[in-house]
Amino acid sequence: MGQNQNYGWKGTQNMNIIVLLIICSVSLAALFLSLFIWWVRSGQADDLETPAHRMLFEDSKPNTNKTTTTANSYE
Amino acid sequence: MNKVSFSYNNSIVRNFAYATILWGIVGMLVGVIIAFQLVEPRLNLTPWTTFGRIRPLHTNAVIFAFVGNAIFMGVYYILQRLLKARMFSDLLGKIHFWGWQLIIVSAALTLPLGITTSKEYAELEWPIDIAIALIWVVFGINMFGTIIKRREKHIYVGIWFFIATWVTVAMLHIVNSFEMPVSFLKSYSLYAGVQDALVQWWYGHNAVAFFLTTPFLGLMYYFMPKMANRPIYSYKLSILHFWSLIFIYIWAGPHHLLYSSLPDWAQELGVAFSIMLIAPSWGGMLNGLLTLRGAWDKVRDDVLLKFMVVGVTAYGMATLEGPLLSLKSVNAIAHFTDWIVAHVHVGALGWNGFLTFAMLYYIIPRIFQTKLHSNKLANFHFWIGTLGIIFYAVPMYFSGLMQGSMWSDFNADGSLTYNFLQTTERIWSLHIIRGIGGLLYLTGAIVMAYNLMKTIGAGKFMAEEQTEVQIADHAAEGKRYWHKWIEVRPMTMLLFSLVAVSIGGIVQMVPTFVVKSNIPTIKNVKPYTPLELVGRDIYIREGCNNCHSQLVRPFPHETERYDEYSKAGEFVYDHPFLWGSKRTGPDLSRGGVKSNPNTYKDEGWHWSHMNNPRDVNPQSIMPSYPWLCDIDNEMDLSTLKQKINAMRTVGVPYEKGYENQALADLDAQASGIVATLKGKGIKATNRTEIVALIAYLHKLGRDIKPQEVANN
Ligand code: HEC
Repeated sequence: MGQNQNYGWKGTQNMNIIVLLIICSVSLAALFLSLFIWWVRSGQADDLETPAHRMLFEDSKPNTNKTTTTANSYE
Repeated sequence: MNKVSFSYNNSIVRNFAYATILWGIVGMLVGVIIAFQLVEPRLNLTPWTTFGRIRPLHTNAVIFAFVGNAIFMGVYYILQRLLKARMFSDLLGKIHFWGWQLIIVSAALTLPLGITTSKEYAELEWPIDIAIALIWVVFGINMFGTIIKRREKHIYVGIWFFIATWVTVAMLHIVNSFEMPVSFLKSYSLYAGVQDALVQWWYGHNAVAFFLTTPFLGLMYYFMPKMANRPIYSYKLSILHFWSLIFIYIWAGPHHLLYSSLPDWAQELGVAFSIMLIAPSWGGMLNGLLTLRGAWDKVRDDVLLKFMVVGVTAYGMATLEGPLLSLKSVNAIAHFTDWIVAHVHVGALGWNGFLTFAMLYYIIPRIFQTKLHSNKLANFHFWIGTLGIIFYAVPMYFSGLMQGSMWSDFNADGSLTYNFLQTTERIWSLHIIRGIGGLLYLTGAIVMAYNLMKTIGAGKFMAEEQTEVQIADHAAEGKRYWHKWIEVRPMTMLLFSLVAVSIGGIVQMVPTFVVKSNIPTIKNVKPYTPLELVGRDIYIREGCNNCHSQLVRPFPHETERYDEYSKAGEFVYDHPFLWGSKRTGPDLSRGGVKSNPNTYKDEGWHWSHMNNPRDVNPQSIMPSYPWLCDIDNEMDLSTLKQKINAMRTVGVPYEKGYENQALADLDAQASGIVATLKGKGIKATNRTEIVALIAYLHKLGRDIKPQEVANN
C-alpha cells in the first residue's frame, strides 16, 4: 500500500505550513487594519446613543406619534 | 413622515415557546436519568436506554431542542419589533418550525437506536444533517428577508449577533458534516484521525460559541434593557464586544485537544486565542450587568431580572473558567474529568437556561395579554433553579479535581497509587449530589411550565399584534460613520462575518489536511480488518466513546497506566476518530498491547465483562451489554461491502475488489476468536457481535508494538 495513500484528504501534500500561516495572518491583520481606519475616520460618538434608547420605545400597541410613545415597561 | 400600520406575527413566537418548554423538560429529564445511571448502572434498563446511547440524546435535546427553540422564539419576537416589520414569510416560519421539530423527533428516534456518527453534538446521521442544513437555510431566508424589508434603518446590536450566528453555524455544520454514506442511516466521516478531531473540535467549540453564546448575547442585548426599562450600559462597548468576539472565538477550538496528537503550533494558537477571549466575553457580561447600575433595587423585586443577573453572571464565570481550562497546566488536570462537565453546566444551566426562563416569563404574558399567573411560583423557580446549579456544579468541581489528582498520584516506589476503579468509587457519592442538583433544576422547570400554563389559560392569545410606525426621514439620521455604514448593509455584514470566521478556520484546518509533515506515518499501522471494522461500528453504535477515551497523553502517569502515548500516525485510518472527551471509564487505546497486563484483557475476560461488568468488577458502573453476547443477535453484515467501498473512497487503502474478499477474511478471523472462547467454555458464533467487538478492542494499539504482531 502506497505511503501517500495514508491521507484521507487528497490535497497538495507539499505546501509549506509557514507560507499558509503567513498569508492568513497577513490577511487577518489587513482586515483589522481597514476596520480600524474606518473606525478612526468615523466621528461616531453621538450616534452610539440613540439606538440604545430607541429600542426601549418600541410600540406594542398602535400609536400615532412616536414622540409620545411611552416605554413598554415591564408589568 | 410616513405612517404605516401592520401586525407582528405572534403565532410563530408562541409555537417556538411551547416547543422550548416541552423539549426543555424532556432534555433535562434525560439528563437526570443519565446522571443516576452513573450511580446505579441497573438504570440502563434496555439496549436503547444505555448511557452511551442516551447521553447524546440529552446533549442534543438541550442544545438543539431546548436552546435551539428558545433562540428561534427570541429571534422571531425581537426581529419584528426592532425592525418594525412583520417576519418576511409566515409560510417559511411554519416550515422552519415544523421542520425543526421533525429533526428533533428524528434525533429522539435514531439516537436510542444507536444510529450515530459518534461526533459530539454532531451525532445525527447524514440524512438528518441535510435536513438541518435545509431548515437552517429556510430560517436564514426568513431572517434576512425581514432585515431587508425592515422599516427601521438602524440595525440594533442584538441583530448583528443573530446574523453572525446564522453565518457561522451554517459554515460549521456543513464543514463538520462531510461524510461518506454507507447506507441510508450509516456514514463514515470524510476526515481521518487527527484531521477529524481538529474539524470536530473546531465545530464543537464554535457550536458553543455560536449556538450557545452569540445568539444569547443578542437576546441579552434586547431583554436586559427591556426588562430593566433602561438602555444598555454602553452601546459603543456592544459594538466592540461584537466584532472582537466573532474575530477571536473561531480560533480557540484547539484548546479541546491539548496534549493530543494535534500539531503543537495549533495547540499554542488555540491557547493564546482562548486567553484573549476573556476581554470581549467580560465586556459583554459587564455591559449586561452595568445596565442595571443604580437600579439594583429593581432586581430585588423583579424575578425576571434575578434570572437575568444570575444568567449573565454564570456567563461571566464560564467565560473566565474556559480560558483558564485552556492553560496547558490546568488542562492537564481537568481534561477528561468531571470538571469539564461542571464547566459546561454552569454555562448551560446558568446562562442558557436562566435566560431562556426569563424570556419565557417575559414573552408569554405579553402575547397572551395578561399577567404572569404567579410571581411566587416564579420566585420559587428562581431559587430552586439556583440551588440546583449549586448542587450540580460544586460536587462536580470536587469530583473533577479528585479524578485529576488521583489519576496522577504516584507511590514512592514509582507505581500508581490508585487503580481506575478506586477513583470511580471515590466520586460515587458526589455523583448522587449532582443528580439531586439536576432534579432540583428540573423541578423548577416543571413549576415554570405549570405557571405558564395557568398564565396561558387565563389570557387571550393575540396572534396578530397590530402596530403602527412612523417611518423616519433617513436623511435626518445624523452623521454617517463606518459602523453605521456596515449596519445598514446586512449583506456587507454577512460578508465581513464570513471573512472573519473563515480565516480562523482555514488557518487551522487546511495545514493539517495538506501538510504531510504534520502526520508522521507509522509504517506498521494497518487498516482495520473487516471484523475489526464491524466491531468498531458496534463500539460507535453503543456510544462507548461517551465513557472511554482512546487517547493517551504524554504524561508519566498516563503512560504508566495506559502504556505508550498516542501518535498522530496511529489514527490515519480512523473515520471517524474516537478519542472521546471524558474518562468515565479507563482509556482503551492500548487494549491490544498483549505484553501489558494493565491494558490487555483476553477474549474470555471481555466476554464476561461485556455480559455484566459486575461479574468482573463488583464496583463497576459500566452498563451491561448482554445482547452483544447473545448468539441469536447476529451482527449486521448486509452493508459490509459498502463499508469497505466507502472506506476506500475516503482514503483507506483497501485494494480494489477487496470488498469481495472481506466476508471470507471476516469469517477466518472470527473463527479464531470463537475457538478461543470455546476453550473457556463460552458459546459464540462467527456472527455474535461480541466477537467483532473483541477483535476491535484487540486491534487498539497493537500496530505500534510490531514485535508482538509477528506471531499473532
Ligand atoms: C457509563 C460509562 C461506560 C460505558 C457507556 C461503557 N463503559 Fe466500559 N467501562 C466503564 C467503567 C467505569 C469501567 C471500569 C470498571 C470496569 O472495568 O468495569 C469500564 C471498563 C471497560 C473495559 C476494561 C478496561 C480496562 O482496561 O480495565 C473495557 C474493555 C470496556 N469498558 C469496554 C467498553 C465498551 C466496548 C463499551 C461499549 C460497548 C463500554 N465499555 C461502555 C464505563 C463505561
